Amino acid sequence: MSQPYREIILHKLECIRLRRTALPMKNSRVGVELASTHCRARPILFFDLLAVSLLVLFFHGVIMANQLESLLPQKIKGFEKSDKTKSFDRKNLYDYLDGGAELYLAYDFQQLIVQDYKSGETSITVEVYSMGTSQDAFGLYSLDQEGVNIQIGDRATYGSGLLKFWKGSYFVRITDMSGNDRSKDAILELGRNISQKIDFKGKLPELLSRLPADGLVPYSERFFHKQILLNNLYFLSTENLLDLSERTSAVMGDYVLGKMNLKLLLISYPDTSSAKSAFENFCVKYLKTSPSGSRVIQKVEEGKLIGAELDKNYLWLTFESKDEKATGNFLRNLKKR
Amino acid sequence: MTKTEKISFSRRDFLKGTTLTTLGVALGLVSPEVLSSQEVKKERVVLVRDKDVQDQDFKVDKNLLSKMFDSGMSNLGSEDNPLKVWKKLFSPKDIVGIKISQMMTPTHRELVELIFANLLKAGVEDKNIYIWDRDKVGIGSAEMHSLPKSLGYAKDHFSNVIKKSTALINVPGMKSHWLAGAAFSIKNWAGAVDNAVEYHTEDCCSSFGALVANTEIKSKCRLIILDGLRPLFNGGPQVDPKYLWDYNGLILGFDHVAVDTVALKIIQNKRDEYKKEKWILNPPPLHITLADTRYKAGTSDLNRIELIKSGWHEGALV
Repeated sequence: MSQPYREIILHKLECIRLRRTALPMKNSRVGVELASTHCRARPILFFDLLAVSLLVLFFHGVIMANQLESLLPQKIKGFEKSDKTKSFDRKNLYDYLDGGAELYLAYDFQQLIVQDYKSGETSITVEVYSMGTSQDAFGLYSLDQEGVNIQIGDRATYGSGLLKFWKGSYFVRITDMSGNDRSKDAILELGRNISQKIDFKGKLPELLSRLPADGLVPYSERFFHKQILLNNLYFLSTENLLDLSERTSAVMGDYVLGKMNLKLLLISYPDTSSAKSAFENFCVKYLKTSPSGSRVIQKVEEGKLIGAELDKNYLWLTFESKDEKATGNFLRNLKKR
Repeated sequence: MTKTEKISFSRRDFLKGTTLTTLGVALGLVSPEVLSSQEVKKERVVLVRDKDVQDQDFKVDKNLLSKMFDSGMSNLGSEDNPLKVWKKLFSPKDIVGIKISQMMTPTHRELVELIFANLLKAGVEDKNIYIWDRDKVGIGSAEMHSLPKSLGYAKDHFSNVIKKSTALINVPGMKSHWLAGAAFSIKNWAGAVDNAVEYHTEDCCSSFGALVANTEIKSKCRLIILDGLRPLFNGGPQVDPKYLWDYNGLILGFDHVAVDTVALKIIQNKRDEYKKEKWILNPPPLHITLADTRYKAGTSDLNRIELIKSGWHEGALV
């Protein structure tokens, strides 16, 4: 915490402490002197606490932005900071990403800083997203993993002037909008520099380990929570048929199993009854069938199959497969895991 | 026109092609023959392109852009002289609001400058030309890039620029959009209200059509100029540069839904070309078709759109 902010907050807290202690000591000279020195002695009011809370929140934001800024070097490979660093939180992210903010808000987004670097006419933009958890930082990263894998952070890809990486609870994008590799060296060096200053490794979502490894297309796994993301990855319905929310976690992966391709979606619900309710709702409203057990395989349009398997608080779903027997076997094996 | 209840629409409905058929056609899922072939008045949409309008560093050649723009305006208004079209559309008494986009894939500055120049030639006074996105407003050519002013919003959430203007020009960028499927001229009006978040809904932003069906926008918007010089065909609004391409085009029209339907066809075809297989926009941009079927704000039926193409034909994708 930087010194001036720390002092202001400590001073405000001290005022409140003094009010609390000064009151019973109303006639005590020391108490009155102390209270009058720092602030008026009066009962602690709700608004005092509110003011302090807001102050703490405000300075928390400022401090977080300062911490994020400290990740950014002044100069690298001929590129130098050009404009002021811009900072955004959950409230004003729309100012930066109107229509795109919801993507980040669908995860536990905390803070973003944006910094432009220039070398002559060429510019690079760095975006550092601070997330509440490393799992959600991975989640953002996982949405599009196309590109060449690079050894930066916990996982990184580079392609056509864009480096994306995830480390700890940070998700970082570094872009040269030209779409070519003219700034590749500087972009990668910037990425390494930022990554080295993040001194903790991220933790992958536990749910990811439940996906079977056999047949999983490398780097196709995506982690998310809400319906809004599912529809971006694989449009199902305008209705939230699977009851996805911030209380659910989901992973989706692409599989090639012999001659069969499919998409596998695994959702973790907070409890078994929520999972059961979502399973039944999906079967009735989407598959137009009433489930008699915990597994349903239903033929839908274009001769494709949808499989659904309820397993305690988990719901497994397969899409796009065309072989009923193989889909059944695949689902059965999932439950054994 | 206000927003209505959320739509219930699933992937299965989409694949059956029984509802929102025009969307299915635009995405190449349904044959155009299923749509009406009756002789009806068609909405004119103009596509104009030039191979060299941008160099390899994406610098715009303003002279070529000006020629493209003139050609497009002539075709749109069926006049040899584009100035006649401008004069038909705008009078010297007009206060003109130009709604641009500053987000991620912004409207090109050179295009904004040409719009200003043509309005001035048509007799509109410099001080009566407002240019804005969200609450950043510039008045007159001196402020057309800096947008230093703020005029705020009216009680109905619409920008005060709309209230002040007697005529509007919509100049959006051209991009796919992770939440709405696509963001063209209809969605650009989300940057003209202070409650845009209410339109960015998880039902594929189905109510954007309410914006163009709004009486003031419907009655005042006289020209749509979609900036398709370097569109984005995947993701968006945040840009992954590998999904930008040099389309080098402008799409002009009077009907938001018709313009967006043509743009959607181009973006979808670009996606299919990139992946060498059908690569449907996720989520499907329902708002374009709903702007037609629910809000009656224009036509999304390609058979009812008269598309006039000029300039560079290779890779037109439509």
